[in-house]
Amino acid sequence: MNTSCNECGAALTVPDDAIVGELVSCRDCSSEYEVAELSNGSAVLKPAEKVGEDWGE
Amino acid sequence: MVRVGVLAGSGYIGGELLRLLLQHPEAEVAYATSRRYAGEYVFRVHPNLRGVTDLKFVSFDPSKLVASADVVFAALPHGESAKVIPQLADAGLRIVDLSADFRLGDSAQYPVWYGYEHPRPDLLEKFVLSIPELNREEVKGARLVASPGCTAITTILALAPLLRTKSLGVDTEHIVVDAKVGSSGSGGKPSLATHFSERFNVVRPYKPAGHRHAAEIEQVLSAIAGVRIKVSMSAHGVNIVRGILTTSHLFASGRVNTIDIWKAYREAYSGCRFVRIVKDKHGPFRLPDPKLVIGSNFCDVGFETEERTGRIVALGATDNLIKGAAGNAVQSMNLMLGLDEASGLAMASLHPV
Repeated sequence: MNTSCNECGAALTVPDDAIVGELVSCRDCSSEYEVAELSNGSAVLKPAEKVGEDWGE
Repeated sequence: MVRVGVLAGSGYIGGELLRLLLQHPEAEVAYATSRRYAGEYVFRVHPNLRGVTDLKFVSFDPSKLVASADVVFAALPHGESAKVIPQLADAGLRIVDLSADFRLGDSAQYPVWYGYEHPRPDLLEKFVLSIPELNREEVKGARLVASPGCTAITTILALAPLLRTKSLGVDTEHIVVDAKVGSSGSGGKPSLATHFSERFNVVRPYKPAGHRHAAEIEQVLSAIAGVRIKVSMSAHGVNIVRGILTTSHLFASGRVNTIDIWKAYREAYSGCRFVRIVKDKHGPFRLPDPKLVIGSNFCDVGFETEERTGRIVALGATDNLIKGAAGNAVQSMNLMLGLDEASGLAMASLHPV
């Protein structure tokens, strides 16, 4: 399944056997996405939640 | 095998040329000249080459040297190359000059930036200023090549995609370049300024205005942009031996879109083996850093945007002695001779350094 990175526009490939909750990382800018939904061979991604370097300070 | 000669092989750039060429699979070093060290083993001047070569430096004698090499690399000081190169060029040798003497296309610029009248202005139009990532085809057909200054090539590679992409609306009159340069950038000749006690731990603004490399940067970027570019440049000496980081500030007339800038860099450097786009969201090295190019021919480029002010910050990092000098020169030779562009240059950078 092919989509693109919202941050840098690079092509992003979601494995065909991906499952909801799986993490996908952009090769170019390393933005991380979580597979939010899967339907009819396409994936909906959302930014993966992570703790910032300043631990939210 | 191609026979190569190195003029002024005893300096830091000469040493890097010898290191790269001695390991080049398709080159044979015929000679290296040095006025001061003629008769001395190369490895006594460049101790990293002990066990690599038993070559000795020779003095410069064009009558003997013209017939013994196909390509000559000249690492002479500015002003000296212009005296020596013409006779070698007239003899039909292929030349890669690393001084500033053949970089500027307009002879009237030499008194302005370098303080001397060019002795052979007729040769300037025959030299190609080689930045293979930007003018590869021109370099392929050249017999005479000039390699840009280290700060210039690092800045140019970081800025070229932004200036050739008209839709970004960059203000071409107000571009500010801040360069941080390692101590090897000032060469191997010691002085009070380079004495350890004076140089160690500095962040020294050694050229806050009027840096000579601005002339090369403006020449190349103006040609790319199709309009006259003005660059304001400041250079600092910092506490590293090798490496350059250039931080350039540009201002766009409209909204700056990150994906458009990514696209500009990708289009410019697709298929270029020695330019890496570095803009990562993880780890300690999210943007170009000289630390990660040391020992390699890479130029890392990257950017950040500031929507509030319309600013684009473009960064470039090189090993000043490799992509900033000897590596770019060898890459140029490879192209001139129809060899693989990366021949002898495919090494990864060192980490950690």
